[in-house]
Amino acid sequence: VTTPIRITVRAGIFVLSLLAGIIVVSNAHVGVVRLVVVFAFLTIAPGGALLNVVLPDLSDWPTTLLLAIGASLAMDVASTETALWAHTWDPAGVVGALALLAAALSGLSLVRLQSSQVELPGLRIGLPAWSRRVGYWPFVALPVAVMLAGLIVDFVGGHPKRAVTGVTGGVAAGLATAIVVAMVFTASSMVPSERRRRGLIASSVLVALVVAIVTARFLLIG
Amino acid sequence: VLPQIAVVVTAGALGIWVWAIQGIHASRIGGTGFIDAVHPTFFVATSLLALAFVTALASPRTPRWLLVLQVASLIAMLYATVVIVEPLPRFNTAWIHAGFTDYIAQHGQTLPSYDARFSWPGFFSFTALLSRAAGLQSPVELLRWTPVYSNAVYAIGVYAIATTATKNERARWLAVWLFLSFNWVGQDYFSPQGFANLLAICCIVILLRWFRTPVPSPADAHFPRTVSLLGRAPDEVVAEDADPKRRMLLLALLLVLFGTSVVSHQLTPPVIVIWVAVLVITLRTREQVLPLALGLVFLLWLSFATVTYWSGHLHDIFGSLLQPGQALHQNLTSRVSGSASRLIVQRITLGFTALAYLLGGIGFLRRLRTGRGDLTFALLALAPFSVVFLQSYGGEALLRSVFLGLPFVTVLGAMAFFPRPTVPSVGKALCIGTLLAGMAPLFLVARYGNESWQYETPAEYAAFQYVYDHAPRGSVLVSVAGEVAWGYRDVGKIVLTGNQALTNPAVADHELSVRAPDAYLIVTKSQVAYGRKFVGLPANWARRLESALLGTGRYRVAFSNADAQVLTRANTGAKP
Repeated sequence: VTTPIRITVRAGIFVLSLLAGIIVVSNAHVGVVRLVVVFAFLTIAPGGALLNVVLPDLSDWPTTLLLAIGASLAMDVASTETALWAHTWDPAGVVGALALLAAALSGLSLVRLQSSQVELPGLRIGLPAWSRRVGYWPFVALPVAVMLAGLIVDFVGGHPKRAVTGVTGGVAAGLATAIVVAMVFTASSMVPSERRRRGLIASSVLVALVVAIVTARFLLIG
Repeated sequence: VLPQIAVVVTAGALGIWVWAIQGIHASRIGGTGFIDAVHPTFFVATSLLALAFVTALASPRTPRWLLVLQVASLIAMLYATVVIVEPLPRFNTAWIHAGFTDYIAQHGQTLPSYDARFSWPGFFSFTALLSRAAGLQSPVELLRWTPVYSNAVYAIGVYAIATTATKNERARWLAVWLFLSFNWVGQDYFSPQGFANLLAICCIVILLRWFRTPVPSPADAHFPRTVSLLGRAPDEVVAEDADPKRRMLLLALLLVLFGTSVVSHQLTPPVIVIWVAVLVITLRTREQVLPLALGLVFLLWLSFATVTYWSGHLHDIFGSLLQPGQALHQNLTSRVSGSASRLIVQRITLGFTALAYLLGGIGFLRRLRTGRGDLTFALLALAPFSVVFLQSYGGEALLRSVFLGLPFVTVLGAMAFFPRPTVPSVGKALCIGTLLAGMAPLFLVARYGNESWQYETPAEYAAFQYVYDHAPRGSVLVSVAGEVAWGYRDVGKIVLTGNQALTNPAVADHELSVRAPDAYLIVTKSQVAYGRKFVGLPANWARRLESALLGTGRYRVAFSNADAQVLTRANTGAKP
C-alpha cells in the first residue's frame, strides 16, 4: 500500500470520526445521511484508527479491512455493554467518546506517517521487563478470589438464584481476561522455557479451579 | 483482451439485472418461493456475470478492481434483489430482534427474564446504539439491508481466509464466489449469529495468518501418526513472521474479538474454541493454552451473566447431550416435511448443500495429489458439526454448523478447480462457468424457497400495528401458525402466544380466554401459507378456524384487510 493511500485512509477516518461525532452530539436532522455516516463510522472507524496506531502496515488490504471492521464492532460492543452495566445509557455520549478516540488515534497515525521522527511519549506499546519477571501469579489469585466471593455472596445473601452481575461480574470477567492474556504470554515464546513450563502447570491448575467453581455454581443454582 | 471483454460483459449483466428487476413482483411468490416471481432475464444476468467472472479468471492478468466489481455485482443480484423487490424486511426472527434492540435503545437495560437472548446482549446493545445514534424511529429500518452488508463483509473474510491457504489469486476469488453462491442458510440477517460469525472469521484469520507454526517433519517426535497418514504436506503459504510485540497485540485483539462474540451469541464461541483446538491438534499453532483460555472466558460468562437463562433449565440445555438420534431427528428429518412443493425445496436444498461439500472433498483430494495438505481446513469445515451432538439448539444446530463451516468448505471447493496456480484452459473455464451459472437458480430455491411465508406485506404489518396501537398493556396476542413478524416494538407490552398450527377452535378459544385486559387472534397471509406448506393443511384451514370462533358469538373482527384479520373478544377491546 502506497503512502498516499495510507494518508488518504487515515485522513478519511479522521474526517468521518469528526463528522459522526458532530452529527450525533448536535442531534442534527440530516435524514439518511446521518444513518450512512453513523453506520460507516461505527463499523469501521474506531477499529481502523486503533489498528493504524498499534498495528500499522499489518497486512494486505482485505485482511486489514476485515480486522478493522471486527475491532470496530468489538469496541462498540465494549462501550455499549459498559454503559448498560453502569446504568449510564447515553448513545450520543458513547458515539461522541468513540469519535473523539478515533479522531485522536487517526490524527496520531497521520502525524507518525508524515514524520517518522516524531515520537510522542507514552505511546510505545510493549511489555515492561518487570511484568515478565513477576509473571502470572497475581493474575491467578485475584480472579479466583473474586469468583469465590461472588459464589459466597450468592448464597449468604439469601438469594440463591440471583446472578452475580454488575460490578462483581464485570471485575471477575475483566480479571479473568487478564489472566488469559497472562497465561498465553507465559506459554508463548516471550519467556524462557523453564518459566514457560511452570506457567503451563499453573495455568492448568487455574483452569481446573475455575471449572470447579463454575460447575459448583451450575450444580447449586441450576 | 480478456479483461476488456470481462468488463463489457459485467456491465451488460448489470444492465440486464436492473431491467429484470422491473419484471419481478413479490405478489407472484408461490410454492417454491421467490424463484416463482423471478423473470427469466434475471438468470440471463447471473449467467452473464458468471461468464464475465470466469473470463476474468482465465486472463493472465486481471485488475483486482474488476474482480471486486464482479463480486459486488453478485452480492447485489443474489442478496439485494429480494430487498429491492419486497416491500418490507423479510424473516420474522429479524423483526423480533428489532424489538429487543428497540427495548435496549429506549430503556438502556436488558430484560433477561423476557427472553434468553437478552443474556447475550452484545449484538442488541450495538444495534441499539446504532439505531439511536442514527436517529431512527425504529430499528426495523436496519433490517432490510443487513444481509447485503453481512455478505459483503463475509466475502472479505473468506478472501482473507483463502489467502492463508493458497497464493493462487484465482482460487481465492473463486472461493469468495462459491461462498456467496452457497450461502443459502440465511443466518446473515439482523441477528446475533450473523454478527458473531464475522467475529469468528476475524479470530480464525488472525490465528491462521500470524500464529501458525510450520508443518513439522514426520521425524519429529510429536508428529501425530494420524496426521502423517492423512498426507499432511508443507503449507503453500508461510505464516507471517510477526515480532513478539506484534504477536502480543494480535493476541490481545483476538481475545477482545472472542470476548465480544461471547457476550453476543451462545453457539459461536464454543465453535471458535473447537476451531482453535483443531489448530492445536493439527499442530498449526503453538498456542496450546489458547483453547483452554478461550473456553474459560466462555464458561465465565455462561456461569455469571446468564444465570437467568440456565437457572432451572439445565435439562433443556444439556438434555440432548450425546444423543445423536434425537439431535439428527430435530435437525434434519423433522425439517424435511410438509407439502409437495416444500419437499421439492427441501430436497433441492439438501442436494445443493451436498454439492458444496462434494466440491470441498474433491478440492481436498486434488490438493493432496499435488503434495499440499489442507487437513486443517477440512477439519475446520467439519468441526462445527460437533455442536449438533452437544446441543440440538431447537433443531437449528445443523443449519448453524453448515453456515459456520462454509468459508472453509468453499476455500477447499475452489481448490477443486485450482489445486495449482495455473491459468485455466478453455475447457476448464467453460466447466467452471457452467457450474457458477447453474448455481444461481439453485441458490434462489434453497435460500428463498420458503418466501411465501417469510416475506411481509404492508397489509400484514398494518394488522400488527393495529394491535400494538390499540391493545391495553398485558393483553394477549395469539398467532395461528409460526413465522410471525411480531415483537418488533413495545417488548413486554403484549403477551405473545405462538402456535405451530392452530386448527382446533376449542384450543383457540382456551388461549383467548386467559385472564388479560384483552385478547387478540391474528391471521395473516404468511401464517396461512406456513400452515399449507410446512404443516400440509388445506388452503382454507385458517378461514375455518375464524368462522368457528365467530360462530360462537364471543368474538368479533376488530381489523381486516386483504392480507390479515384480527379477531378479539366481542365485549372488550377497541372498536374497529
